[in-house]
Amino acid sequence: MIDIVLENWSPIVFIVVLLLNVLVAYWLYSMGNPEYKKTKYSGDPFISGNRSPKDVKKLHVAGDNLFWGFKKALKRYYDPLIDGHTGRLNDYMIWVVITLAVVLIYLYLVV
Amino acid sequence: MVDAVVEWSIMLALVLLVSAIGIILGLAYKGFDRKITAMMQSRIGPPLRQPFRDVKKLFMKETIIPDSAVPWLFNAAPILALVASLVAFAYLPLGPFEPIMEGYGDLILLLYLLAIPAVAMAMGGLASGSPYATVGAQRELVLMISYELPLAVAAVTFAYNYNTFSIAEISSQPVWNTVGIVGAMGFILILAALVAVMPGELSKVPFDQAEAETELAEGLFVEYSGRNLGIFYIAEVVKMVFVGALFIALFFPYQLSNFIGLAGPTVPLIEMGLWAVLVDVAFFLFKLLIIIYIGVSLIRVAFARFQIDRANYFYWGPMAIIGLVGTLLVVLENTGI
Repeated sequence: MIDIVLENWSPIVFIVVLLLNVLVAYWLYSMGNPEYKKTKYSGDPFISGNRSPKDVKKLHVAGDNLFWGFKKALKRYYDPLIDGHTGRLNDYMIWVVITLAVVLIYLYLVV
Repeated sequence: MVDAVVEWSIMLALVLLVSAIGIILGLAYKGFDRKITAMMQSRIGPPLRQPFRDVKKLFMKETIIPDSAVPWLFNAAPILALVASLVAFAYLPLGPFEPIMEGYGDLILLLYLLAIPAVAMAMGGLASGSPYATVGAQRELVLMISYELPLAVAAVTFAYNYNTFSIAEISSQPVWNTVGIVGAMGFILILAALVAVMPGELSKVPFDQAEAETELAEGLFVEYSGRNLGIFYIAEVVKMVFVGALFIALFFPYQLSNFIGLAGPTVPLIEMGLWAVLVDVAFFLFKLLIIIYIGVSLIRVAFARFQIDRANYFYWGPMAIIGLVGTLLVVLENTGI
């Protein structure tokens, strides 16, 4: 039986040290130059030298497009999951039976 | 009451000291990394103190906040990244010195603190409202959930072997002394998986997809400038030293003074002579140098950037399997099968 000690925790000390380091980081931050010269284009976001639209908020990437990047990068993970979601009740019941079998085998071996 | 105040004051003073040491060491090792990388690429490279100059220059430059940004989130992200890296430092043993926050946090806390700078970077990228930064933020988050798996496997294996998550207890006895041949093979596999995690944690080539200068024009940081970029720079170097120190604590917590007879193996720090402490500090810095050289500089020079989906496959496939096989070997030895 695994018996792992989990007693080394103090949230109060953690928060105090966190706040102290926030002060350190903010002190460093405040040493930098906070200003910049406002010109016609200085606030434009970088889009490879193209002129940004008048309403720069239009440059924000929408939520569903944001998720596209995850789906693309995690394709190898999503594809089998999507294949598993066939929409047929029989397939879902098979998953339930398989999961139940695994749980019962675990309980039989451990308990 | 007075004792408690004195104790707290000493602890907070030490936390400040360690934070300062973390920043200075980080910038110094960054200089070493850049120099050695340049030498491996047959370039002269910048002087070792160049990172200090870079930070100074960035702090003097204008801090531009794009019109498309969410200003408070955009400005808070670098501070959050630096704070998480600095706090993590206080929970680690540094050479002959025990962790300042010994008994107040463990390996699980360190893993969470390790994840916060990456989340802060993604947060800042998304808050900047730039399409390049948005793609960079997506990649950073994908990379983070990828390398967390082998990292978590390693943490669980250590906890299983030592029956604790306490970093001080884990580092009090080198892992190689706690296992036999089979267990040692398991921990060698865990070490290999963690060496592969290191460049991912630090967003270095071959896992710098979130920045990817040649594709995304610095990605996450494309809109960052001046002091904001300077703080991110410092956060990055502090995290580099932190990850190196974590490696030392987990795998190589040896002290040289024991071997050369300056201090006995069980002598507490307070009874050690000045020379013994100096030797151990120097040895710690040397170990850190070697780990940063292998985990950052050498890998950066030897490999090209992976595609983001391949980086994900690399961590969830081969590295997770290597880590799990390592865990299995450790379990097999501990259960005596």
